[in-house]
Amino acid sequence: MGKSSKDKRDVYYRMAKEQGWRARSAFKLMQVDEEFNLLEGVTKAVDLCAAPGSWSQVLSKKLVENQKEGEEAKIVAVDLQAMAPLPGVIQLQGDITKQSTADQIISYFDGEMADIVVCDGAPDVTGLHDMDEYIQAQLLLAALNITTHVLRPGGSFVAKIFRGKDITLLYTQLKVFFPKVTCSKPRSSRNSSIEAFIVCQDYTPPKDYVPNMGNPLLDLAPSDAQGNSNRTIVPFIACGDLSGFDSDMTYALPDSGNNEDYKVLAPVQMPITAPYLSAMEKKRKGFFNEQMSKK
Amino acid sequence: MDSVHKRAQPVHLTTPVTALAYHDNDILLSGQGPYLKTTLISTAETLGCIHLGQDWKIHRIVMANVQRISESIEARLFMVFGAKSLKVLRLCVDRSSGSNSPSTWFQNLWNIPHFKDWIVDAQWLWNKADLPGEHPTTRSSLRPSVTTPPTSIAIGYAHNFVEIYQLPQDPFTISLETSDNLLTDDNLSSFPVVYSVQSEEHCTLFCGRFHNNTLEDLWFASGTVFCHALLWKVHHDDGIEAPVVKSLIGHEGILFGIRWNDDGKAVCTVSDDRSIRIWDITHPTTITHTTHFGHTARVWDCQIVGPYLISISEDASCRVWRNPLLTNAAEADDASDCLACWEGHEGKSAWGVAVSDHGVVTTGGGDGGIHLWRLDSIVAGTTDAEQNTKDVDLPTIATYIPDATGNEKEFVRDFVITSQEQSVYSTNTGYILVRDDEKGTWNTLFHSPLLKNYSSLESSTCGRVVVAGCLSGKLVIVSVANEFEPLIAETLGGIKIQFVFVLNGSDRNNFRIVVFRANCTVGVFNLTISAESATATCSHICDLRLPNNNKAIHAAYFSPHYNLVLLGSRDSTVLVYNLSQLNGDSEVSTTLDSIIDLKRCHGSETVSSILMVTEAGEGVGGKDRISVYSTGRDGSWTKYRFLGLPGGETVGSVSSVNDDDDEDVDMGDSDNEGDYANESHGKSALQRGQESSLDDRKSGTTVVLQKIFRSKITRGWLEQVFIMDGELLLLGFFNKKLFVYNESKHFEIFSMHSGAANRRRWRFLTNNARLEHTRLMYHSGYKLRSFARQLTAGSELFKNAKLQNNFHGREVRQMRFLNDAQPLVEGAPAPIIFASGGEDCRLRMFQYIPYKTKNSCTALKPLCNLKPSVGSALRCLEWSCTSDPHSYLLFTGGAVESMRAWQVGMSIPNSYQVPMIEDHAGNMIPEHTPLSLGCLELAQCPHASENMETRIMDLSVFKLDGHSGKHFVAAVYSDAAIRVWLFDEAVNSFVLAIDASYHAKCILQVSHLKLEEGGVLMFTAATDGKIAVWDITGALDRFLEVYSTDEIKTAQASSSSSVGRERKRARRDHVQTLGTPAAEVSVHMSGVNGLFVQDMGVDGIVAVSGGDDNALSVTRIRTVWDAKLRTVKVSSAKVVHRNAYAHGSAIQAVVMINTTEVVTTSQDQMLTVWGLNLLEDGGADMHMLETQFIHVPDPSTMDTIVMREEQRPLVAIAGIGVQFFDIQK
Repeated sequence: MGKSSKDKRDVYYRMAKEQGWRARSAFKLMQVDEEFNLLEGVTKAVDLCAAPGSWSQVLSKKLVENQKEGEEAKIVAVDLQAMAPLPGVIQLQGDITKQSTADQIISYFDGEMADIVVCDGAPDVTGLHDMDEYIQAQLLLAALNITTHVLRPGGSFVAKIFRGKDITLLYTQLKVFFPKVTCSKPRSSRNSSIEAFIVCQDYTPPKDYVPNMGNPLLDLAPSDAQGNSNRTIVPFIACGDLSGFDSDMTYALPDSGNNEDYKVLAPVQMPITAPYLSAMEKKRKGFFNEQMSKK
Repeated sequence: MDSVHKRAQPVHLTTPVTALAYHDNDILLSGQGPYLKTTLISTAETLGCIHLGQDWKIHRIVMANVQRISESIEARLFMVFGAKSLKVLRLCVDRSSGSNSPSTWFQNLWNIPHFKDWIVDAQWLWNKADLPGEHPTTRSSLRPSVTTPPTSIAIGYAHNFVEIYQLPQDPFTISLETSDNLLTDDNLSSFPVVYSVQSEEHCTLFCGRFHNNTLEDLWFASGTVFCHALLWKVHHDDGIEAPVVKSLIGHEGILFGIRWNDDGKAVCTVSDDRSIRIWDITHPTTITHTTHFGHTARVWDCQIVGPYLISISEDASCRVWRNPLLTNAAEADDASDCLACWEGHEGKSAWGVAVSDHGVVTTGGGDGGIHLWRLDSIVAGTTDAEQNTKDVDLPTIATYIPDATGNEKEFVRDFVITSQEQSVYSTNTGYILVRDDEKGTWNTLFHSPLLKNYSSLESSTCGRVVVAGCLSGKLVIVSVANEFEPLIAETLGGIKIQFVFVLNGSDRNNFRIVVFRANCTVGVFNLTISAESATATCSHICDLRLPNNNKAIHAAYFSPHYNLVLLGSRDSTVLVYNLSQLNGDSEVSTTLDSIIDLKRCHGSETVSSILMVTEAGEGVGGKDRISVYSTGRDGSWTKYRFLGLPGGETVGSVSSVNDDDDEDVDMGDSDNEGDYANESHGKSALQRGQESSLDDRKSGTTVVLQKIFRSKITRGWLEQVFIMDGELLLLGFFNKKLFVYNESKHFEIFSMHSGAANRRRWRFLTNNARLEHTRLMYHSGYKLRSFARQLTAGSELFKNAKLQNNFHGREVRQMRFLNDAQPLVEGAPAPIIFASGGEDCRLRMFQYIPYKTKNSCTALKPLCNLKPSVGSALRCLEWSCTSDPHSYLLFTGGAVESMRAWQVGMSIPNSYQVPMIEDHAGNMIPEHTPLSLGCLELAQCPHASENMETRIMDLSVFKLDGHSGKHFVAAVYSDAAIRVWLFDEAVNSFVLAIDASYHAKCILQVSHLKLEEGGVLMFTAATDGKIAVWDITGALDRFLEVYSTDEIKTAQASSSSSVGRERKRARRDHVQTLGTPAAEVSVHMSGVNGLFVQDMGVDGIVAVSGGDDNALSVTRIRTVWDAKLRTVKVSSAKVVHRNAYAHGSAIQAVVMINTTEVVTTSQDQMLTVWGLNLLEDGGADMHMLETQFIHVPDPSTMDTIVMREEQRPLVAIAGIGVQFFDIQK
């Protein structure tokens, strides 16, 4: 298996490289937008957990189109990790659970609020499913919490979710702030993946709600509501053109049949930091080969 | 428990083992999903098991101290927590039954169902006045130095805050008879929070740990998502936020685990960055740390245990490291700080680890298995290895050569280990010396000028006979214990003896000696010891003719029963000679030809050892199963079977690769290793009475040696294969280390620096599969080094290292029950068998042994564990039956377009013990049907797709009336291909019957229906949410017509096409196409993940489907059969019911358990039972009957079987683990 095998397996991965997106997830936001027209008329956007920056790229492209005379589109991209710069995108390296981060985002909008907040963040998945879902929920709630600070009423919020066992509890939380909540799965997200996107529209904070970063814990109800008829249900919409590409399908490469001619493109932007870099470095130097078992 | 009133009763669960703790050195507590279990380490006996409740998942068990009730009864207070729940329990142990196993029971004292946040740690606290000295619950919590009960519990949460709860009552005053939860909603307030504190650092934690057991001294170590570890004191005076006292900064990724050293002077952290770091926190201002890399994936946990660090990781291994706190700087330079790597779990992640005071390490795997290890088995690089390795120096020459001049150039020419206490040496001056290794004393056995300057030494396995081959071609044969006079034998020709093999003969006084001479000839000799006359005789039997260009013989084995000699050569050939072909009174110089010459057994590398094993009555039809094993310098071992030997399996019989539970066999990576012996080829050739013209098999006789598989173990060499205690052990060398790998149990038992692996430079001897008494001698430079280890306090600790059998180590993608398994003995219940496959690339089969009485547990008995090819996940599998009621076919499909046919044969093992148990009526019945299962790969399906990456997504298998032995396999592919293959038993190969493409999407489901009136329908469904209905009757008819007229040719062609180095492309001689589907219905918004089609007779066809869109749909289809044209017309097909909110997440599988009930499961981890009403007007209605939580994350597949005795369905759901539900009436 060479470098091209991932290209063969994943049509969107290949297309992302061809079209200059930093990650295949760019298509997910584009397909969600096609369905919900979320970016129509939007000039101020916040991208939480933005690295490597593919959603900021999409926002940048769309918002520039929306830009009216004398008005400037503004995109603030926040991530814990450093991200390679993108033209027209204000980068903020910060923690979305911190008040200071919220304040900083707001400061970039000159007293105005954002039209949309997007979050494609996912935590490190350990494989312990309940733990992973909990951490993902915490990340989403942190994103929601910071959103309540920066989003204008009537604005929208889009975030990645794992459709796991506690998903209906998250729906309940989101319903408190958004009357219209839809679970959406773009066709560029694999059928086999647990991932989906929650599209929350028409931000309407509860009366007298005061955003407070000091309290990240929204009161989650006990999990005994699972599967009962009183669980919160939100509509599911598969989005993206049905006649378009299928992320699960195996496509023949262009010029297939003679794959030697096929040129594997390098990723648009290599990650600039990852936790396992030191371990990878050691591996390159042959450390693991010497040390490790024979298997 | 909610499930009490449900019809679907959970009856068995295997999921990752996430919590382990010792009560004492013999009783282990384990947590698996909601189940808490006690097991006796010494006997692997399960003492008790309780279910903590629907939503429970046990993350950790925290022990308090022991309360001694009486001489024989003790009670252990402990708590378990998981997610946001915590329970306080008591384990009661009664040892009054004396020699029998102790009886244990659990008491549920306090249950707090819902804390405000995720719990990362909990700790028992005492009043400071009650603690005399040491804080009691240190690492092992096995120090009951405190007799007073704890008073409160500290809980650390994921948002970096701590709460202290006061126990409502002195737990020691609660009677052992109390069985109910003492806490109800009414008195929940009696469990008050007495103290609460938030760390000044607000962030999310993956892990945290307390240190010390009083509120005054309590510390908390937080492992943050921002790569830092923060140490802070819980109890402080000012403000509600506690300041961070120490920050440990250095990790490059999230912290997944953190632990304190017992004395609180060091902290151990593990991280996403794959490193372990040990932080010395004794210095007030500067904190130093050491970093340990080695795990090949993320590290989950690490603890400091005396001289060791013990870590577990996502790479499924447990590693033992040198404790850097005890290592001085000079030693720290040694690159190898990892002392052991224990790989006992399959797939991904070891989640739990506990260490007993006796040094027994228990690990719990993501595969649901529990494995035991011994710290005292660690040798590599330890001081133990140093202490137990000594130089062997010859004694002063004058002590054995009386007239020594002092000018002799004396050194060891060769050496052998003859027993645990003795070794024998041949020296340059021609002496054979024996050394008493305990006393270090030397004796001369023999000396002769024949042995001067050259000798090649070998001993018999019993160690009684030592044979030295000489430069002059003579053999010197001596008895170590002076049983016979030394003997000098001629080996013909006077050619230098390069290698000698002393092989066991017909009895303990009989041996075969095989010599390999420097001119590349081989002689076989008979050595017989006469005890009465104290003499031995050695006679030439014959010479063995080697094939041309043969380089050297490196391995030999003699089978007295079949009178066969097996040789393994440097050019990778295995040769078999039948000594029975000799005439009794033939002349002296007979040279025998080989009956079998099997080439490329180890690629092109040396065959380094060979072994033959006969298992009486274990083969097909009660014949003996005769297997051969070899190792090679390609780092692989190969398994073969002998067919056609007297009493053994016959050529053409279905054999068994693998029988019962303990033998795990890896199939070699057949993608790499093209010379995989193919069953279908040889068999079809032989069946037609032809001699196989293959150059790898001389079938002049009916004896066939067939390669079953080859499995690569190391990038180094494998040098020896041996079977001890029924376990297959492999000895090899890699990176100047000698290692012993337990192939049966998949772990390395032993590894040690020993220099290079040159033949004749090392000797190894051990007494059992646990290598308890082991000796290793090797040359290191000019030194001869001898290592010995005696694990004395050992075997009594535990008998079986596999305390609990494992399941798949990664997500199961499909499981299928064998629906019509027949009872093997009259009166016995039919065995419940299923096959499963998934992301771990393994094909496994299990016998489900149902719950029979209150005291017996349900169990999954592993029957078979194969890895058809590396890196090819299994996605789908289906059974099919043959004319033999105990033989079945299994088809598997998956990644890289791989599809295989397997033959699965069932038989009763000839030796077995099944416990008799009392059933509900009080009758004694056998617990289960004993079963031995053999699985043999019959054929691989050829490629048909353009793109090698194409996955086979689903299969559906059927047979047509009047075409016995012909199995049609409908397969759908990720590149939108729909193919129907014929698998013909007569030739054991696949022929492409129908090739079509539809949906233009990845196809997810395929199903079929044979209509009662006639005709075959096929159903396909894809990621576009559509179901297509196909009439394939005509296409099958047309195919069968051309196939039958051309059967032999087709068979031959396809037979040869599936043999050889690479899988060939499918032949398309008779392939039929499909036009357009008979009907197409759009049922879901996106992927159809579950499809169940059933012919409801007068009500027509019903297709129930579940989608990625959370919806459950019912489609009704009406058909008309045209008997004349033999076509099925679809008159109507429409979605008649749709529940868009059937589940909270993607539906993963749908089954109908009868005509009116449907069971679904989804990513939301729920199992739902639905009632289905088919309405008169052609519509349908579906209503939820019940729903409950399942403990299998990522459920991917579900299947059902009707249990014959009970006449009710059993439903199994598999994903990460498997759970069974008994659907009650």
